[in-house]
Amino acid sequence: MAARRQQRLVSLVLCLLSTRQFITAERIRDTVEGYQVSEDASNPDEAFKRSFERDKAELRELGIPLETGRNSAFDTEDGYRIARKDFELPPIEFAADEAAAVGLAARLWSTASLAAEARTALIKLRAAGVEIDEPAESTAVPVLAGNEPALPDLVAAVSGKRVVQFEHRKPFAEAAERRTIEPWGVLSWRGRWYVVGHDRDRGEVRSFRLDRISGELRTLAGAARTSRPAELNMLALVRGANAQQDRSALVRVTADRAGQLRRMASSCEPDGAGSVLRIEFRDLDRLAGLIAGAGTDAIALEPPELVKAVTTLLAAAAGGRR
Amino acid sequence: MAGDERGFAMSTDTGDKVARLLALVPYVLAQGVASISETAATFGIGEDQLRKELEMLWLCGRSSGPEDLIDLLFEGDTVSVTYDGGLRRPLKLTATEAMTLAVALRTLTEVPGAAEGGAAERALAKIETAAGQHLDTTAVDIRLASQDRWLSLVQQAVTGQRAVRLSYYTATRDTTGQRVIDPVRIFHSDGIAYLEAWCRQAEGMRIFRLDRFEAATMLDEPAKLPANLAGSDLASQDLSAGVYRPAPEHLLVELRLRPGWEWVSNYYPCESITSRPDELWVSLRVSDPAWVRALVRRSGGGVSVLAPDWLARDSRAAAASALAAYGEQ
Repeated sequence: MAARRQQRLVSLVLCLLSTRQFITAERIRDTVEGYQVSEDASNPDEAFKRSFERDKAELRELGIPLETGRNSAFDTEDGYRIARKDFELPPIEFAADEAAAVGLAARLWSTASLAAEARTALIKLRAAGVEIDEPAESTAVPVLAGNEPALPDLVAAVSGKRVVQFEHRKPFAEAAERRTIEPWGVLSWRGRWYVVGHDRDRGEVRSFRLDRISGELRTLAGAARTSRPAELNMLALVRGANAQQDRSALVRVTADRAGQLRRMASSCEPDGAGSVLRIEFRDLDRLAGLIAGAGTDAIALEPPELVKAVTTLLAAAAGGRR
Repeated sequence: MAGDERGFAMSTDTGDKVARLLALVPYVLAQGVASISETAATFGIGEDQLRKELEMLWLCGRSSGPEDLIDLLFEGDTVSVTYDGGLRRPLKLTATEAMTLAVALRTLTEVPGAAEGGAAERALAKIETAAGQHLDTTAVDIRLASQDRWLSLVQQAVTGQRAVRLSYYTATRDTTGQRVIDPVRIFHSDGIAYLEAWCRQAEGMRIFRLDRFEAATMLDEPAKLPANLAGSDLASQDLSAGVYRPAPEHLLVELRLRPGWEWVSNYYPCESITSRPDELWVSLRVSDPAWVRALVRRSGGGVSVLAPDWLARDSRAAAASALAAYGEQ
């Protein structure tokens, strides 16, 4: 069934590409392979209409622009066609070093969430006759972190000036909150992705960590009403949101262990067989990770949200699943 | 096949499949005569899958007459297009595809040694032209970590055995100094990349953290290492546990990496990497299982052990006993 529908979609594209005239739904039903199968259905007309609507939506999803219109004033209904200039990749040629750069660029995304988009883009360029060799394994490029499922839709929403809605979980909040955002851009910084935009409910510029988005991201109907101010510095904004002033933690460590934490400590008081470290920190998650990594050699004492973060990590690791 | 999963992330999705079908005909046309195996590799699918899809295309077109249907010619391991049905060019890049490439190209311009001579800038301009619109790449702002910026150049210097002029920040003295070094190898420890090199100024092996590079240039002169430098002189041998050097006698461990933890596969040499929906499975050799247990605890479920079984149990138990310490307070 799936294969038949894919075939039908390709045939529909070929049919609408081959014509300068607008073709009515009725003609499409007769001409395009795959629409004639529903004859013994209880209501073949209705079945055709449903399939055709779904197919049109699918093609638009793919970025294939369907034009609708009438060939003359005597036509009683709209017809469809695809303008070749809107469908086809325009001629494009790359010098060898440019093609190599494109191949390398796609590698940047190899483990991040836009890997699929990078791959399909390369396929289209290759199908346009551009020769792109796989970069040599020895060529190291930075690999962008974070396989964030929401990223492709967010990038699309930013370029398309759309509005998105998602559930966002604040650190240590039990429940996620629904946010409606007009996204202005995304930022990758220190291994994490952030989205910056206009928060419709709060009427303010806000930033959100993508790894704290839970569930599906929905793109809403209608266009964004705000746009990114030219002077917006996303890094400064995200940094500002993260800039809890330095906070102070107390961590008990066993003698001669947890060297990484010891090096971070501003003071170290002997405590029984071990010591209690005072550590100034900004990034709570990072410190919690280091403490959890040290296992029984390091125990977070203060502040309570640090203790909570460490025990959350350990509980998840002990359970074997998140 | 891993290839299947890496190719189109959602290969089950009708839209992706149709996009691929629409790209196949112009791709084969551009090749003239296309090898089935190479085409399958390019599209990231298996050969059987490719043959199946090509056969699907064969029957596509208008049903008004056979002359309008796509016609392909299969000969041995090759395929060519006899009639393209009007499908001569691939579909335009979607806005997200164009943006994906453009942002990566712009990022490459900040990586010394990656795409020299302005190739990335020129390619970016052409992608913009092809997309038919100005791509606002600043909407995707990528701040590379300092060590990521230098990895490319350092790797080339190691592979090409070239000397490097380095401006390096020394934390203990809080100063930046200039020196010429002869790179030997790169290694990673606890997420930080290091370069081990002969330092001509200190006349000894030294270890440099890539995140403390302030500037680096690859010199034309070849790297020169003292002839009597033995394996035991390598400074990394003196580093304490944690520095990771794989050896065949070390334990083979299979790990599951969830989103956010894929970097493990880049920072430690893996014997195999398999992409699965929403996770990576990697196998690597580990000298000390304690390193794995610590990684599992630190990741809070982001990294878990698939094999061996005893280490999986061990890692969970180690996390549980660390957790128990909080109950006692």
